[in-house]
Amino acid sequence: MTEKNNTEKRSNQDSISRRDLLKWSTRGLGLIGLGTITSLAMRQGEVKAEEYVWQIDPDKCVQCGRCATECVRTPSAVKCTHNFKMCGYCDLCFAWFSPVEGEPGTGAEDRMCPVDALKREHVEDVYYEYKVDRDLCLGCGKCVMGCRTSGNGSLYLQIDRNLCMDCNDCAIGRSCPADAVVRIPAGQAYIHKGKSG
Amino acid sequence: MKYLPVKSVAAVSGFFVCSAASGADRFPPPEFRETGHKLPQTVGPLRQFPFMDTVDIIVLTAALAVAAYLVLKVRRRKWIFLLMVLCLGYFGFFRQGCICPIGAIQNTVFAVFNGGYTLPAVVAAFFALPLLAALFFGRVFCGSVCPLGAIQDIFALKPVKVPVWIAAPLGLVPWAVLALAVAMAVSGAGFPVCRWDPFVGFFRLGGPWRMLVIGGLVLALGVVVARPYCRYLCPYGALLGLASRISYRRLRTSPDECINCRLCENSCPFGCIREPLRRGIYHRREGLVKLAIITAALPLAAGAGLVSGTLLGNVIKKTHPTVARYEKIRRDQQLTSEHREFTASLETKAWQDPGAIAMFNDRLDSFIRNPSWPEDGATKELLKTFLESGDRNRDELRMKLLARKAELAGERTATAVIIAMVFVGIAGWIKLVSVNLRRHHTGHSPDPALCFSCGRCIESCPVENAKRREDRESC
Repeated sequence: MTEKNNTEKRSNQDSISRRDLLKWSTRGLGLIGLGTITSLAMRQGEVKAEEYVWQIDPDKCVQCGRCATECVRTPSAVKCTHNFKMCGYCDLCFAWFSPVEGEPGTGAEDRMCPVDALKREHVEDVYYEYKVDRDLCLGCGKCVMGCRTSGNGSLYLQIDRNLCMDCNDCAIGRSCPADAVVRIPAGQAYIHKGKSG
Repeated sequence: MKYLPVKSVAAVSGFFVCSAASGADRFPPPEFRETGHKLPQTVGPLRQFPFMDTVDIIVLTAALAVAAYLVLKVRRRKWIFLLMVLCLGYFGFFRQGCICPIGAIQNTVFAVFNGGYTLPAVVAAFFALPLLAALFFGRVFCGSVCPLGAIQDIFALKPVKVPVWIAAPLGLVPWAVLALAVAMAVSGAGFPVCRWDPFVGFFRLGGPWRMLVIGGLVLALGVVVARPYCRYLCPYGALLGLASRISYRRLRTSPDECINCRLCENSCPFGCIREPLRRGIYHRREGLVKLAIITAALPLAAGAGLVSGTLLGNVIKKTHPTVARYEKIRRDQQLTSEHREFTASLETKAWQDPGAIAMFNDRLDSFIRNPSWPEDGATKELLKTFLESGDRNRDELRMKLLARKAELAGERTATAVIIAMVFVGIAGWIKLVSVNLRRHHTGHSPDPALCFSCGRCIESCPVENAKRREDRESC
């Protein structure tokens, strides 16, 4: 009786250990698979980046206005940015004055900016300095369009890294008609317009 | 609001004579000799908290470790619930639902198949750590750490039992979501899991109405069908279930021998308590017939995947941004020029933008000076014919190159979707096999693949309660 019990026990132990071996080897395979995929993903690519950010390529941007409407944030994380070194400091600024009558109720009727986010200050002679109030700016790109078509093109739209939520599937990027929204390593941001940012 | 920019684009470009030059010094910058005014720096605000990535990894690791300890050692629902709420606060409302492991699947496969993107360490950690934890301690991530699970768990107020004949086929949906998400990420069609994330709008306390409506509907459904997203959609849950199936240890309802009182069955809102299955008497003939049917079903399942993949691929490929953009431009080209002026899409306006054309011409000029041939054969052919024709019809070449780019993207997406759907077909077949395998076991226990490790069943177990009483008295 005892002997029989013993053999039963041993065979039980054997079967358990066989099952354990199977389980441990499957687990090991799972671990190896997980490690392989993750390390492959981390080794790919030329640039080792700690994080990626969305940026607008100002040379490709055509100021369609979708940045203001498509972003998951309201107001949009896209803000008008100014490269002062390219600016002509014009008195008759095409980003400041609107060529057509503005819509009633949106800022001043003769202004490009619908929310009065573009400010100007007299410097000397006929020269004015233009600054963007980023808290007010909607990212609609109307001033950028004016500056690009008739001025030096010193204004451009760019994604504010402090406001951007880093959506994996950037809503602006998906709907950009000019394919101007790019994902780049954080070290390469900001993409500024012109050579001298 | 939506139409405002379109109108202004038309108004402005109609008023001015557009010039192709971009950034031209039409008005030379002044030197400010009089006042000596210094130019301000261009503002580019940086992240307020640049070290958040590291903090996220540490918090995730700690939360997983604490969750495993609570589920396996402490075994109290209230502590697990507390950890869940804390993690909802941190990963959900403080970190605003981004980054999460569910979306990280896509980044991981995107990085494997895409040379220009390296997986950041924080994304790798979010992808791998919960799976690693599941391999050793079961799905502790789902019950205690995941903010998407937590927000649904709180809303699971009146859970009903979902009949098996609905639940079993629906259990295949997460695998389909996983396969399609991977296919779309690989082919560059986007990250659908993130785009259709139902709860991120709540975490950010605002968002597009579509996001909020879908999230509200899922939460409303979640009142009666507990954790609907986790059970019938979440692609990461499918992977975690697979890992949990072979996990080293996992949540057990009873601390000792199960007395089959079936109280835990009612306590589990997700219906994942398995009843005991006794060794029965099986007829050899019946089994053989079953085996024959199931074996015959494999090519059928794969074939169904192939057919549905072909159909679905043709739909999904149109959502690829490059394809969608090309389609809009192509459609507008068929309009007469008068019509185009007023009804053309923004894509066409961007395509005809003088700056964009100038950029293309610059690139083409540098190509002609110093040709570096692309890998794709058809693109090469297009460029060759163009050069042989003697630099004529640049507009036509530009359009043809875009068409080829869209064609390539579309093909890639369609193929990936077909492979994904064949995989889903085979996954369905494996499910069929596993449903028909009868592995006997005694006592009630949570299903290893489906249990979220929420700890509700522990509280209902009379064996556990008796043990607690004993422990208290011995103290």
